[in-house]
Amino acid sequence: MALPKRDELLKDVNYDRMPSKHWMDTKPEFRPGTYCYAAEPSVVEDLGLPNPRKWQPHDEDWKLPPNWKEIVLNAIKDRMERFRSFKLFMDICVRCGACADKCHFFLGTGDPKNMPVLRAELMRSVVKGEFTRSGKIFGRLAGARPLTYDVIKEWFYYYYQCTECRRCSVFCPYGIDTAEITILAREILHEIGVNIDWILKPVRFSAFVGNHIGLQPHTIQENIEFLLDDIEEITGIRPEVPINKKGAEILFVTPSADFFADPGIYTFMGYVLLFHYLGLDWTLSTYASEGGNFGLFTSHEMMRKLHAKIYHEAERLKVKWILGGECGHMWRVVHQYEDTALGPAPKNLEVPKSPITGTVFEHAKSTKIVHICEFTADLIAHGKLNLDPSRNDHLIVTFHDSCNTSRGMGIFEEPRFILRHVCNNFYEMPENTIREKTFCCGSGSGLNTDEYMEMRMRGGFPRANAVEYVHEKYGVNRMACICAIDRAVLPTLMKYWVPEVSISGVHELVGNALVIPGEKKRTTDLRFEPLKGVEEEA
Amino acid sequence: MSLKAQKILKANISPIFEKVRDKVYATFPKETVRFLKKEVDRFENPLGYRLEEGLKGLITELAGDFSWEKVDYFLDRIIRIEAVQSRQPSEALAFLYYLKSAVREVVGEEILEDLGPEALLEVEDRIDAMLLRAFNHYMAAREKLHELRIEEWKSRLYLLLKRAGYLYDVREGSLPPEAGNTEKTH
Repeated sequence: MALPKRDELLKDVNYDRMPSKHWMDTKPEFRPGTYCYAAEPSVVEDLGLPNPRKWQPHDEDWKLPPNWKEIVLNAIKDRMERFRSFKLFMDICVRCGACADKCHFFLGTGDPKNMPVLRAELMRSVVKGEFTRSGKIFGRLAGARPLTYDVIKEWFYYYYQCTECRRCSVFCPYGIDTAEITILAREILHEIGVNIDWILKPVRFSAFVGNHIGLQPHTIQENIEFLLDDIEEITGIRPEVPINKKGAEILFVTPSADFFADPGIYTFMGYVLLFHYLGLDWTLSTYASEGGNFGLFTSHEMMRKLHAKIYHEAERLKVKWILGGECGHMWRVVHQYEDTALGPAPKNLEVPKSPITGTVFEHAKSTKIVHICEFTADLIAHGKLNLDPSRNDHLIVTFHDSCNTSRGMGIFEEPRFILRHVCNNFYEMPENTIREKTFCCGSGSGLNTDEYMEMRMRGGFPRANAVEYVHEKYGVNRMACICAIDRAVLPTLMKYWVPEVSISGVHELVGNALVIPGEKKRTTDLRFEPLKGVEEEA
Repeated sequence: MSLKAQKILKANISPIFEKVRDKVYATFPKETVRFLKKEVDRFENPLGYRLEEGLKGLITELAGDFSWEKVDYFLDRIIRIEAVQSRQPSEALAFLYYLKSAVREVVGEEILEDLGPEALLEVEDRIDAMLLRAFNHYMAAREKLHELRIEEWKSRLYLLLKRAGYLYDVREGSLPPEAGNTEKTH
């Protein structure tokens, strides 16, 4: 008896995920969950950016300016002249494929256009097709194509499906940095008004008020008072948080989410306890109240504009140097651009020197900005902190290297050094998923918005997969990180893939472990969760 | 809970697995399949690793002492991935349909000849039951996804909402615990 072939019954249902057409002939499908909303016209207008209008990526007509093609081609030409790296990247790829499987979006989606080589090719093929003779003559045979309306849509889809994490560039033998291609592609798209709301709104608030959600000075202060209440309840101590204090030695700049978002607030409580312990002469600024710089995801000019407020405030408040909190792309901006595009630092700033240990931070000689992990690691190395790591014994901790601080800055050891001193249970994730090979959270570079949730869960899957491994192997229940976007998005990612693991900043754990003179016996951590042993006693 | 055809299935776990894997991979683009099959490291190829682990697990259960606990585990691991892949629900769960095809193609005739139609129906009914069960996992994953969108907004504005009295607080207990922010309660 011949059994019916079941698959023939499926013929009516199209299960081919992608047509087997040439990649130049496939178009992206704007399904909800896989793209971010377009910026509101008023936001675009306020920022003085081109072509403010009502539109959405799922619309057929994107209402581009009539001469959009000319604008884009001129923009490409301009960037090729200004950025030698970009010009090289548009030329030198030999398609060896080393990068192909290194992108978390490719690993999570299986979409070949998320292979970094192809992501760059989306732009490269147009450069070839529009600017080279061989491209014009041989067309597709030479890997060239003309710039069309559909290409713009494809660029938008895939350049906002790259978190500029740079993992691919670690593996590229030529050092092609796809992140830079994405940065410039977005910059070019901005010129015809192709943008996303989730990036431009924080940019507007940062520019006009000083932080991403537009917290006014009094709101910042009230929030901090609220956190101080909690600190007092937990430790019996009420530290002082100086705000806009002129003449302070140190200006402290941290992502604004640390003032109001869960779990960033616990990291903030950690900073405050540390500064109190040290008797540091520091201040916050309500104007430079944002470490994050979504200008990096908009244009070089916007990044410069937003960064300027930090130096302006350092100048106005007459501080000596700047201490930066646990933020991701803030440090990419500082490390990569501050010394060149964004500098020089105001004259009143001095080479940062720890008032506690006397250590001079030579590496910050010109930028005058020190990372809080460098500062704290130096304190620990000099034995200046009284730490009781057993206060973190209810936690089994792993560390996520944030893309920007690891690959964009090279900070690997300091946070680990701190963690080893403030907690007794620390386990690394597998070697090929940490340090310079770390997997992105899947939501960086301004893609941490809720309408993009589905894509974020795919992009973050490789990260979550490694976390799940250490959770199962060592019982890890807390992942520490030093980035505010991580703190915002990793809890969500974990709740989907590994719900047993929660997220915190490194300094939250420092705050837990720090033994402060005059404090009462602690029974809970900074989240009011009981310390190990306390529950049994009660 | 083992099936009459257990012995035949057990002897053919590998060919059934290879067949169903190829059918599932056929729903991915060509360039991707090359990669999915190539890599072995579970961290560098999480998609391929999990799909293969799950499919192999399901077939092994089918051919062994079928336990729903284990079947649910593997279903959940595959479906959590499928649920965020921009696929229709029918596409996302098609892998179980392919499992049925693979079983029929590899050992269908043999079961019919050796054990008669009841034995084959039994195997297919079991896979049908898995398919029904799969809807639970699919819905759970999709609901989770939407729940997370709401929760993320709450976390993002945590202190502002808390100050306004809009959030449950473990210590104050103004709302039933399940309505609260999980960051504080778990």
